Amino acid sequence: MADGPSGAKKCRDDDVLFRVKSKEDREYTLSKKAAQLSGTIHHYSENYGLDNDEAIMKMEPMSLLEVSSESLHHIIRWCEQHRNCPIWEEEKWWQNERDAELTKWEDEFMAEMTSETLYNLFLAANFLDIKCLLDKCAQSVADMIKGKSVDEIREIWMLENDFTPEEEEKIKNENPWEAILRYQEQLEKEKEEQASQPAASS
Amino acid sequence: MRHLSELFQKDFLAQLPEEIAYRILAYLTPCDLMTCAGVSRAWRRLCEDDRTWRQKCLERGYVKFDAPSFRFLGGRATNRANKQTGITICSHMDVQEAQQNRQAREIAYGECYERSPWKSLYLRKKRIISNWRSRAIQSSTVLEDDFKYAISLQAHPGLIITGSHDDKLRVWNVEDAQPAFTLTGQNGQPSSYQVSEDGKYIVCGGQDETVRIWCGQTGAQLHVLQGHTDWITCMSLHGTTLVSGSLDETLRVWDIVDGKCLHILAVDARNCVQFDGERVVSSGGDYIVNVWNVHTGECLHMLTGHTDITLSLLFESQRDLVVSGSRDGRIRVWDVQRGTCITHLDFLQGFRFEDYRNFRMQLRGNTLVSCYDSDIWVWDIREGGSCLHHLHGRNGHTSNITSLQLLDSGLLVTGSIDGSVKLWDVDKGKFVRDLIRLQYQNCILDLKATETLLVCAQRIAIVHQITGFLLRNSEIDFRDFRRQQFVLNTELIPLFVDFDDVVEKGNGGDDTKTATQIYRSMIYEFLAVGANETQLSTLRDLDQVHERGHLSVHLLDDFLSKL
Repeated sequence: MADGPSGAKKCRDDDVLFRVKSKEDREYTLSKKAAQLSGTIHHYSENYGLDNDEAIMKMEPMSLLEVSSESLHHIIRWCEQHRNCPIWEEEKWWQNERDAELTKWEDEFMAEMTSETLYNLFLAANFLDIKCLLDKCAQSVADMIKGKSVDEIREIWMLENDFTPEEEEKIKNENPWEAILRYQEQLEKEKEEQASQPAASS
Repeated sequence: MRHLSELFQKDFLAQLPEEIAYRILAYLTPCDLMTCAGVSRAWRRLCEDDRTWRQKCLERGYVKFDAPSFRFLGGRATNRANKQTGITICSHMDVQEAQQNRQAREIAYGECYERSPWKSLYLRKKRIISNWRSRAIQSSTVLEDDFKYAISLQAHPGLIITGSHDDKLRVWNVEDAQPAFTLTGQNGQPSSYQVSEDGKYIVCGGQDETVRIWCGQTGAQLHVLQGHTDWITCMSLHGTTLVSGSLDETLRVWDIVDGKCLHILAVDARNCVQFDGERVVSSGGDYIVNVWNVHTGECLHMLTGHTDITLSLLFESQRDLVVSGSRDGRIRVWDVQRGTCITHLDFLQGFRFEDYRNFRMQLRGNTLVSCYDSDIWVWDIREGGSCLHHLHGRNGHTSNITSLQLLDSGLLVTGSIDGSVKLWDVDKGKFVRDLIRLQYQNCILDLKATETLLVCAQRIAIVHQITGFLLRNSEIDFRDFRRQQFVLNTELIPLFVDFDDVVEKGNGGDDTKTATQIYRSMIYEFLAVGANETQLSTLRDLDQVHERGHLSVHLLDDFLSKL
């Protein structure tokens, strides 16, 4: 399990290999277990009777016309790394538990992505219906937004302010809310810091 | 995250398919969502998506959506609590400030309502919590009434009910802080009253051995339920079915719509009764907590273990949990499905239980809060039970706690004889702030809170009467009285501590002890000041009543008014 992102877990020789083809018509293979992480491939194999090793060995490559070679490469790395993980609970994503080692691998994996690759990876993961990857991508993007001001966000994402002055005025009117929430979060933090001092007892 | 911090070439939220955008938003805190809504039109549309905010609300258990009230526009502005009335509301806004605040809120609410109801619900809930915790208080009102004492309270969204020693119940409109109607007909003190969940019925039972049902909207008396042959001491209402316990050692089940008695169980349930529509949990003069099926009259369980009478019962039907607090200094948690004791918690730890009236408890989830004397304990009732926090000390109450209310937001409000209302954070086990302080050693007699409203009853009337009596009915400020008293006899100051024990919700006879104490202190006062002939004769009458052991605070007060 010491494989870093660069030397990702390779599929073993005795694995039954699933064949897929990227948009650029390049062929890739991935283990059966890893392939099952993708809802789209799972459906495909059900529809085309790929439920036994023999059928998979004889299969024609599955065409993934929406997925570029680069994205597919990353996706296969992800799937091979996660092939033994328990099923990802989508509805209650906060309940999913990952061991520290895997989380570290995931973080390094995400750190490799540029915004362009991340964008494509996002689309590919969506197309292939890989829940755990989708959620990880979403989390990384959310982390980029967290704690930033409106101007900072506009700068990073190169967004135009398309509100009319009147609308902006109205948004400002709502700003007290934001201030309250920030204040509360700050208060919570302060209180946690004070937790070492027993305030309630004499 | 080196690469990610470069500038993005694409607008992830607006250009990616919507379901992906929502997936990203799900990872954002409400605070970040607020910020994002101000970035661009596309972002605002996504960030104010109701599904996302609904998720945020549900995660925190915010479900109920009530519109902002207009309470502030009513009587509160003109009749607010202030120092002149002897009440200090800690960090109170002045009227102008509060009005500006109100306007700002209306603007914010109005916009938000149209776009995203769940977002506005979330913000409102957060706002209310922060109003409790830290923000300046916007409005307060003293309910002015010619009733002598508000002895107990009941708060229902939109309604406040006060009971008094002159056997009446007054119902107040919360919106304009004006009395809505008076409930009459009751003879003798009301000992227990309740409002049905929908606010349609007000139910009251007391010394006159009847249960009276009034319409919650008009105050018209709907039914008088007769049958009990002694004082009604406790009641529990579920839907439109009422269970009442009485000193006559029967427990009656009533339909309050038809006004009919459905069942009579020969059960001593004089201390406490709790009802879930099917089962009744009751306790009487013995040390046993009984569980009954009201329809068959069958005794389902006899929960034994306590070695003294039960003071308080809580019943959580869905989890089959019953919590009982007893004079033996122990709280027990029972599984009423199996009839077994799950947990016991010792809150006295070796101390003797002196005054059982000072015990209160409430349950929320797995957190149980109990108070005795001036101390509060927070318990976890799971896995054998453990004490999470003991709230006392520097920021704690200095005298008996008379009432407590646990709110859904994890806040605890406590009122005490020391005249203060305090707010605590139960989850963290910390003091948050003082809400109210009373002057002149007045005490908080009772307190009820809903998520948006805090109602307190303070006792001042008796003090003022004695003031008048000692100073021969001259109208002198109480501070002068204290100075005077200081001159008279410094040792008499504890008089007020005795008063302070008059905290019970009109439980008739319970007042005798206190009244005797007042009486004795008064005699000494009297001798120090001197009396004329009429006063002496009244005193002799009083003494006779005292000899026969019939003295109650109510009666004492009548005598005092004659003096």
